Amino acid sequence: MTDASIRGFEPAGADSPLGKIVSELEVWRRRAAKSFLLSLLGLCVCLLAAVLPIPLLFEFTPDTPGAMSGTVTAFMGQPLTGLAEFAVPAMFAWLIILPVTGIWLFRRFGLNRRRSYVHGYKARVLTALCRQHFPTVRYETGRGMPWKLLDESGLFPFASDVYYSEDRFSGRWGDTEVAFAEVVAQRQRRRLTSNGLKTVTETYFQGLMFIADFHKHFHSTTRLIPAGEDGARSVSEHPANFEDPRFEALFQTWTTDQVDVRYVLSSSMLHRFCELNGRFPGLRARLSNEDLLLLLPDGRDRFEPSLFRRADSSNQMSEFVADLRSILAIVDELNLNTRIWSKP
Amino acid sequence: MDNGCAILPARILFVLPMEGISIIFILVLVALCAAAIAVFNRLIRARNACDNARGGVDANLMKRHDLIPNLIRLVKAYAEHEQETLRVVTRARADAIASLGTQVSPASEAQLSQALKLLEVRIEAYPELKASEHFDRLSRTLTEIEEQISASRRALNAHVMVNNNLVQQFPSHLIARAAGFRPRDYFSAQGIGRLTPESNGTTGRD
Repeated sequence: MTDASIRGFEPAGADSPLGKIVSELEVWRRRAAKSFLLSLLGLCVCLLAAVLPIPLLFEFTPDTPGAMSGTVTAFMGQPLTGLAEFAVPAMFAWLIILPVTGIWLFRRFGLNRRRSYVHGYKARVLTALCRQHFPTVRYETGRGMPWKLLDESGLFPFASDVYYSEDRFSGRWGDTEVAFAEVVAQRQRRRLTSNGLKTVTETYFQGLMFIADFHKHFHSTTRLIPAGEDGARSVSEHPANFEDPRFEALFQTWTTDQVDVRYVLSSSMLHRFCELNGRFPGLRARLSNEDLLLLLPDGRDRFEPSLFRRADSSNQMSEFVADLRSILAIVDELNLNTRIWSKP
Repeated sequence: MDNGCAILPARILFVLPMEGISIIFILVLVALCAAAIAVFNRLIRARNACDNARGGVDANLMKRHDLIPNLIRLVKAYAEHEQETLRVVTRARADAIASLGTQVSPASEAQLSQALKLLEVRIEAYPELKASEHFDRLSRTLTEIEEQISASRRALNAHVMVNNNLVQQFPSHLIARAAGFRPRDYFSAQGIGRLTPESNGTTGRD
């Protein structure tokens, strides 16, 4: 563990590289926030302007007594005759054009500018924070974990239909190579309802995907799945039972080698997985090709700067540093930095 | 068609009571035989798994035995005054090799582990030896083998538990007794020694 990782978060001074970055970003943030608020206001005005006059403008005559719908017979109190008949299609055009314009304005000047600020902030501040506090770890702008890693892990009994990953960090923590990123995986299910067949999108995993170089040589493939839940079925894998009742209550283990799995999951490692499951309930793990892949579910969206918090907010930056530190602590919690075996 | 099939046994029983009973008796007998064969096969599988796991333990123990002469040679080169300790280790290794695969193997292995622990304590007095790259590599390999011994021992004990459950539980124990299956002994750990100068007290407790 480096000295920087042990130290608490230190706010960036105005003259430091990070200080210069955040002061530039603060100007950017103000512009983006102003643009966001103005475009939001524009959207509201457009919607109101489109909707409010409707009851005042038209007079409806019910076709049949007691019916809810009717025929437009008058416009602003005048009977519809001649050119006035064009007022109705004009009003429908007004009803469509105004909201569409409002939405376009909001997306163009609100959401896009907010997105570009968030990307810019992450690329510059997270990179600088890594350099300052975790020099051996780097932020990979615009990158995530490949979807194949999740789908081919066999940790879920189905493949993802919608997959999204961002905020990837990689590097070396102590003696262990690590990479992690946020992942959201969804699948589409068809359900028969009273209204017919409906396609429903379900989020089945949202959290962190964490990959680390395991500290021992091994040749087997092992999957840890929460007890009572399903993973993919494989002919070459068999269940393994362990002597730790707590671990057995939390996980079911599938492996290709009954001896190798006990070499990899020593008694103390079983205990560590139980402890880690306390932090990330429902964790899944796969050990193969001498790597450890962890799926750590938590509903949080980390490393997202707020448009309404100052770019130089030390609280926000300290949250990011604390998040990074708690993720990297997994390496120490699983004791992956202990390299007393033949694997360097 | 289905109804006809469903009432057929009843009709047989009514029309031909003796033949019907015979058919049912034969069916029950066939089912019992099939169950007995299945239990017998499970017992065979459990016994073979134990033998296989025991072979795995012995193979890993053998790996450790093979590594010890290298260690002795290395220690001799650095620590000439440890002849007595080295003799103890050599003797314990010879006993462990001789008892491999027998009932006394765990006890001999425990003795060997104790001898290695003694050697580990003695080595503390030779910082040059501890700092040597060869020793570091050797101790890492030894730690790995000891972890593998522990893993294969745990796997063996898991198989032994399955075997013993089958042999002792009703009704499989009826077949086990008739076919001469016996409960197996667990392979006890008895403190397998470590030689890990770089591990800062975490020796093998990964």
